[in-house]
Amino acid sequence: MPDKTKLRRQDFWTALVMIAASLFFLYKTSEIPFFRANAAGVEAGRWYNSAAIVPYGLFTGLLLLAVALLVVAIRQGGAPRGLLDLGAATWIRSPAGARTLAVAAIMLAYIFGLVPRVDFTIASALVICALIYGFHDLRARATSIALFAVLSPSLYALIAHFPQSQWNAPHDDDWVALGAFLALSIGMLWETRRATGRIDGYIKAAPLIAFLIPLLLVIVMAFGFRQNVPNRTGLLFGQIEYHYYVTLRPWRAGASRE
Amino acid sequence: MLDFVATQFVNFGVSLLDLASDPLTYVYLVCSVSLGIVFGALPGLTATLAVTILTGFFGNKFPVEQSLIALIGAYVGAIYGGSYPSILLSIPGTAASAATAMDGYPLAQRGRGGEALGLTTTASMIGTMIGTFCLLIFVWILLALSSQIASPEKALLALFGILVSGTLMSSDLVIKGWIAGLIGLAMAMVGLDPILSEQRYVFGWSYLLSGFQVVPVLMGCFAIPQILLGLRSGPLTGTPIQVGRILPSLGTVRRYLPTISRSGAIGVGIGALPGVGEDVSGWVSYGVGKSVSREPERFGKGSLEGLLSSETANNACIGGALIPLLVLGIPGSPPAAALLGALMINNVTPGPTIDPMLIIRIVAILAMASLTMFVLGLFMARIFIRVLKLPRTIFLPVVLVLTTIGSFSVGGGTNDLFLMIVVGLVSYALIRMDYPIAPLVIGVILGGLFDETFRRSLLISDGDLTTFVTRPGAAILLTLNLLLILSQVPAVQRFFRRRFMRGRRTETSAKIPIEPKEEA
Repeated sequence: MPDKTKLRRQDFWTALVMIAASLFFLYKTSEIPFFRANAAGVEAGRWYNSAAIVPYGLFTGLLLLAVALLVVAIRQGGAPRGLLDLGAATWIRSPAGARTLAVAAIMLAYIFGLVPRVDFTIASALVICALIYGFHDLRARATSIALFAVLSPSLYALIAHFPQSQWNAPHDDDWVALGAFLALSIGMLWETRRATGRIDGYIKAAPLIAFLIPLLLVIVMAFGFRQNVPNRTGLLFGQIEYHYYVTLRPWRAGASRE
Repeated sequence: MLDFVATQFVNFGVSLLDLASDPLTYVYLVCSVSLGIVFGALPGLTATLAVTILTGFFGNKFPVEQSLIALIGAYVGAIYGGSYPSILLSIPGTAASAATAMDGYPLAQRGRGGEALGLTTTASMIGTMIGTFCLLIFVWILLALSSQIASPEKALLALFGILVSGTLMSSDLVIKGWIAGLIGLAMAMVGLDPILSEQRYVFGWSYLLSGFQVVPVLMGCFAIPQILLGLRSGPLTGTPIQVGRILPSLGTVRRYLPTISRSGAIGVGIGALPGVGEDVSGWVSYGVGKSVSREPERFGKGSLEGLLSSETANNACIGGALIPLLVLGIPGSPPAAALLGALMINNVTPGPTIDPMLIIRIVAILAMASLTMFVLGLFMARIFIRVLKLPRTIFLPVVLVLTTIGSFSVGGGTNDLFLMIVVGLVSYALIRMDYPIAPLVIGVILGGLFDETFRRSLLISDGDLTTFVTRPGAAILLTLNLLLILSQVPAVQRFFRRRFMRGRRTETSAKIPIEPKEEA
């Protein structure tokens, strides 16, 4: 299938999604007062005062553009021949499609499962290690192992401690993530040697890069740039912060007085 | 006028001395320009990403002027750094350097890689300086004009910025660029409205009451798709060709000075167009260079003129892109949009009310950044070339962590991260379907301005829509917006094509000599 036709087929479906979204948001806009605008209890019933005026124009414009896109897509051969002719299934089965989905799944697991709960250094080390190992050699087996290594601790963290307010809860999910990182580090070296007969220098260095970079980053951000960092009570960062304020700072203050 | 220019230069000199006398400036500049060059040199990372990541790091905890040194340094470095892989590997490091690869790589294959790098470094420095001085002079004229701009003009200008970036950045259909712009505008509608504080599209999520935060949206739009695209394709690396001597000869630079000056002017002009940016300026300047060259047949085969045309323009574009940013609050390019995000989180509002000394300071930073880039580029090029040996599967995972911590630090919450990842995945899908992403970001940034100024215009005129026609500035901008929309309507295009063809036929027939009738 030529690229243009493929693009138009995607445009056909996107246009339909956008038409639906525009109609939905036009409906939601109708809930905003239009002819009876009310500001801080004062009735200011003028249409041009309404918070809905720009959204009405905006979503009507989006609807018209989506219809225009649909027309262009149909005219240029983008209309599907059958209802099941989505092309998405073929894309998912393709190696590039599967890899994209795997990266997306790892990212989602990291942001929604690990960062809100697990120590940032451990979570980031696990994800960096998994992404380097899973996508450096372009081997489906490596990608699957990397995906499993990230999904398991993130699902555990989500299921066991879903609310973020439980940052002070026990560090069991930190230990699970640390275990996954160590297992992945050892497992990937063993699996790569078994599969390719040698270990790439980048894969060898991956666990070290994966651990040191987030550690350095989190220390620089928290103590150098004085910025907020995720999960200050995490297994590792909690200890670093404790010793920074309780051991290092008083020691430095004492040394400077002397 | 001369007095004004002289005063500007005196102020600029004072500001430059002030900056140069602070040792911290050099630390920031060397670090940020080096980081920028590395980001530009690594295919998969962009100038916008460099500025966005640093915005996340500096946040609002540092004095704005210090943040600006780092951000502008990274911006200048990254636009220049893109020329390394373009010349040595024929893989453009950034979209802005795509045209550079056309002539840079053939030159490198002939063993003239060092000469090409040295010349692009010099041209990039001169280009940035041209942009810098245009910014110094023209920003004040435009600022004087912009003080006459009221709400109707501002609303139409914001709309023009979104439409023009959608039109020029679309590689497939212009409709897609406009759709991206409108999606951005729609995202800007979320939260409390700026006049009545009415809730819009919050869906019960209190985080959304303050609207979409700029930094997570920037990170989502620019970083997440790059990571997905890069890791999906696997490692991409190459062994750079031997470069040879990098220091350029003065004679060659002098010979190509007209090309450099012309490309600099083109770069500034295109940079000043809202939302267009460095990649377009590189190609336009390359095209113009080819059409006016005495040796157009050498373009694409290793022409120094072609190389300098694109590379000067993309750096000159930086100064140009800052003109609409500082005068109107409308970013001239995607990295300038990220810079606007940094200004916004530091409570600096660009436009007629901006502190004049801040503009002078920015110009001085830009001048110092371009000199730093020149020195680093000429004397440390061999170190930066080593970076090209790194496969992207190694640095892209690190970028994910950098963006995560940057986004978290600015907002201070995991909600920002959720927003970043969702926006990132949607942006990836849009990019895969050939939607330009810059209009979406510009839509998010300008959406609030458009909404507020449009409604304020109506409030002041008591609902009278003729306010957009009766004011001369508004009428011109409305006409420009309408012309831009109409120029893309197929029926209008057909009409003008027919008129043009008829005109040409008439012209051709007029040129045919009428044979005198033979006498019977």
